[in-house]
Amino acid sequence: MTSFSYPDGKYILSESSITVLSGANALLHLQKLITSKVEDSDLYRTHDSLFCHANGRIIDYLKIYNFGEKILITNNNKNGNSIRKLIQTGIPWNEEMTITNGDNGICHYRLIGNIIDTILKQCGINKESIVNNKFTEYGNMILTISSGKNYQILDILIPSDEEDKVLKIFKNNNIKNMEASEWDKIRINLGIVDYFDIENSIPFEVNMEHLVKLDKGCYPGQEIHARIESRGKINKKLVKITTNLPLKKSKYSILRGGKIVIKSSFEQNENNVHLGVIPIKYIEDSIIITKDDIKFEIQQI
Amino acid sequence: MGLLDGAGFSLPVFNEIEIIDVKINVTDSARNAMKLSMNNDDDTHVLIISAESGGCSGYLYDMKITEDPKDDTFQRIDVDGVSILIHNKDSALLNGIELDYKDTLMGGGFQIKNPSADRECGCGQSFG
Repeated sequence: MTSFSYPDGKYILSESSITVLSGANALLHLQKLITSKVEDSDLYRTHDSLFCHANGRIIDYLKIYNFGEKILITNNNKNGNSIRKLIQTGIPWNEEMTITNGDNGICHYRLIGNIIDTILKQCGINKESIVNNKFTEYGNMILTISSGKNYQILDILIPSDEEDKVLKIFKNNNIKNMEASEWDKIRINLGIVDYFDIENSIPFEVNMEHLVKLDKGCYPGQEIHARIESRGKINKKLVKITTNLPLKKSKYSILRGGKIVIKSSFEQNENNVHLGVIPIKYIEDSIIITKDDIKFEIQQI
Repeated sequence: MGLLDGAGFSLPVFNEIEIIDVKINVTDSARNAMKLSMNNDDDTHVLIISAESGGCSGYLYDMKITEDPKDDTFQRIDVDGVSILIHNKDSALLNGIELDYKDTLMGGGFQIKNPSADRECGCGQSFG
């Protein structure tokens, strides 16, 4: 029995770092540092992408908002300054580019639940304008929808000195704030991957292959990604796991060989849910038994 | 006032740049190739060696023969009458490089060896 049900509406203040780039070639410059192709991006488009180390492992997940003359980037706040430094260091001597720290200037709220459609109707926003990697402006807010096969998240960026406006919308619709632990419960149950699930992993092993474009030219980590891809050496996958025991974030040896690495966990009565990486050879199995005789129920995400 | 112009934004990010007095080594074959490439324009033109984002290892080398920018943010190194310029912002990344020239059909041309690089891409154009 699972004790999870999709929420009507819950919000969280996301731990995002905000950076704004301006300059004629800002998008092209950024593209040299990330895994995906953005140079042909249209106005009011969003792009998800990754910063990687030269060893191919993920430094951070970013979302790019294309405002034309300016580009806004959200990424994990743990990496805000290091990512800004990374972007600045490689600016060519003959290019004008400005990098601005918006960490204290913009708040990033995430709203999940059935109420999203109601909120959009109240604001007079056509949902079509903010799905499929598009965003729209509503006053000084920026709205976009991130979605998966069983969820929708409304991402809201708003100037910090105006956040009472979005909080008022939440209050008027009886949408409650959620603590990080409740967000973990929701996202793990729905298979929503967070920064901590993918940090320092190879993109292919944590279901991020859709963000890696090997035909767009070099970027840090590209040589490793190309080698893995061309040799068919993708041998791990991120999955949702259910166990009847609570588990620590750790490695667990599988009876038939290999290891399961638990990345995120939420204790939920007898149905503890986790996101973890398993050897791809077990991907079609519904149950994996470990050497400690723990039964892992596997569900692809 | 729009989202990107509100209060709370900091001034543009400024990470202090380490400036080093650059020393480079130019092999005889690179000296000869540079002279040829300058095409007797070495009075008015210079060779700029720079580093920018890109490549598999994080940074890419770039070399350009261009009109002398006469800009004191560059360091100037004279090699047999040819001026090589390196921008102060790239000085820490490019100090100590060896500029070589290989006269081969496959993989030939100017090449840079960088003892300060922790890693280099297989193609030799990227370092980090």
